[in-house]
Amino acid sequence: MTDPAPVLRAQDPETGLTGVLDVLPGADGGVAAARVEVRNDADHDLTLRYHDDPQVTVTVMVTDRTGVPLNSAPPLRDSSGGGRLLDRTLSPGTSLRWLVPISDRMPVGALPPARLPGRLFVTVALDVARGDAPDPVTVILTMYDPLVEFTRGSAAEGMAWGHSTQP
Amino acid sequence: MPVSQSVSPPGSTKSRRWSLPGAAIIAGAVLCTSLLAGGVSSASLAAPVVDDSGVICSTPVRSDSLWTEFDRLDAPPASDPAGPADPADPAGDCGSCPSATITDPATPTTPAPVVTAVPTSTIPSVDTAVVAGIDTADTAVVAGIDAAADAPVVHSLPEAGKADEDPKGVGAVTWTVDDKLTRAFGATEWGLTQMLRTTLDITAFCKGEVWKNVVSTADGLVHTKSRMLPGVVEVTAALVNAEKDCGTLSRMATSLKDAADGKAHLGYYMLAAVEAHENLHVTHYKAGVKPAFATFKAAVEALTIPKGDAKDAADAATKIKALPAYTAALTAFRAAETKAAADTAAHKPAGDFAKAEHAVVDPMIKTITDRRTALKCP
Repeated sequence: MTDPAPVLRAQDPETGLTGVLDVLPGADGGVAAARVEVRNDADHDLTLRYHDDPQVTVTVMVTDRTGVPLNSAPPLRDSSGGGRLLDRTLSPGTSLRWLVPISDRMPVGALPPARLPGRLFVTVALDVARGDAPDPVTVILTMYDPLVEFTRGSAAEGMAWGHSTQP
Repeated sequence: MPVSQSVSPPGSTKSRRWSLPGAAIIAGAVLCTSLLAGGVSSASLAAPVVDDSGVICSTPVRSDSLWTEFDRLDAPPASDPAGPADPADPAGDCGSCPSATITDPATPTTPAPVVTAVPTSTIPSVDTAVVAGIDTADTAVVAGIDAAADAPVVHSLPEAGKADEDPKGVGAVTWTVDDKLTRAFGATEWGLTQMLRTTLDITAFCKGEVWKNVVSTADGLVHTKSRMLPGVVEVTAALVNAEKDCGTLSRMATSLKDAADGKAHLGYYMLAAVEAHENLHVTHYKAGVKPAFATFKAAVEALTIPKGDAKDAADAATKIKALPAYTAALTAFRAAETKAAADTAAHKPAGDFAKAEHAVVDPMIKTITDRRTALKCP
């Protein structure tokens, strides 16, 4: 079987919102961080509503090459969790970006000492409304690179960049 | 903007199209059949299309870029070439099927509806998965799965002269809602709802030349509990009608109204109003997960592996779960869970929660008003 190819872009055809994944390597070529961009490829404004916590908006799953997860999805908020929602309007051709250091989603020590071939999956979940549409729709865009490598060195580099940032 | 109501149930006229790499596999299946029908150039065939939709691509149409893959798919299984007894296929259907084409009255083998479901304009480029037609109805067509009915499809196998029945998957998340909170109430918490991640699993089964699968487990769990805060009196009709003090009645009504609006109480409230609030969290969460599960199910149940790649059903399930498209679908589902829980935790829209509580307290406020009228309160 041939190696599965990366799926670095995903588009929601109804809204024209496109997700793009950039895997940012560290000095030794391992994954340091994921940069996720959502871009308005429609010919009209789109209003995005997303949570201020990047852990909610951007989900990251790290696995080895056999699909065994190396991290777990974060606990779900309970009803006392609160949280704030942000609204941003994107004009055509503009975008928002999130930077997610890999160490923000898994402890560096969870990686084996040796270089680990693996897969990186990133999902952006938000609500999108067109200017002329009364109700937003939930859009979930998933991109992945099944041919990455994880190293403690690169993960630690990403950790130096701090926690996940968002626009 | 009613965020929590933004996702329409699958199959409705407002049903959304979700973008999932799992759907890339489905789109890939479409691409293959499009190739057969319309002669799409091999340059359009992205690698992920080939990877997990081999059964559809396995019809021997040759193109240079796919030839190696076809050879693999057309080759006899690496082991067990004679197809003896298979634990997941006691009738020997997998071994007897001459090709990946199964005569199935419930699932037309002609590609026409598939091509209609996803226009060729959505064919992905090499690194682009443009996903379309991924709501439940479309996916059911693309994948040949009757996801809406969730009924077992009976496949007639002419060469075997018998029919068999696919394992029945689950059509929706089975919810358990209990009051087994995993933490104590905070001092000012009237109620608490804890949403947990859905337990998912698949069951593989052999069909013709491939291992298919159904989502066989989808167990959702929510803990929710409501209470009266210490020292707060439960307002009942009996309490109201026994009360003779106009000031107390006024304080009851104000307390009910203010607490329902999320303001400070004056020592009176109703447990049913708290329960209505918490129940809305449960409803929101379920509503957020429901379409995500339909998308997950459709994407995952479209995944197959060649028969020769697994020794039994358990091995096949493990190997299907090892496919990147499976993890991609799972990641998307987990993201939807995360969002659904966070959405309702943010109490947006706040008006919905006040409305739910007022539906309980307003009739009692009317009872209080009537009592005050009867007492000729000023």
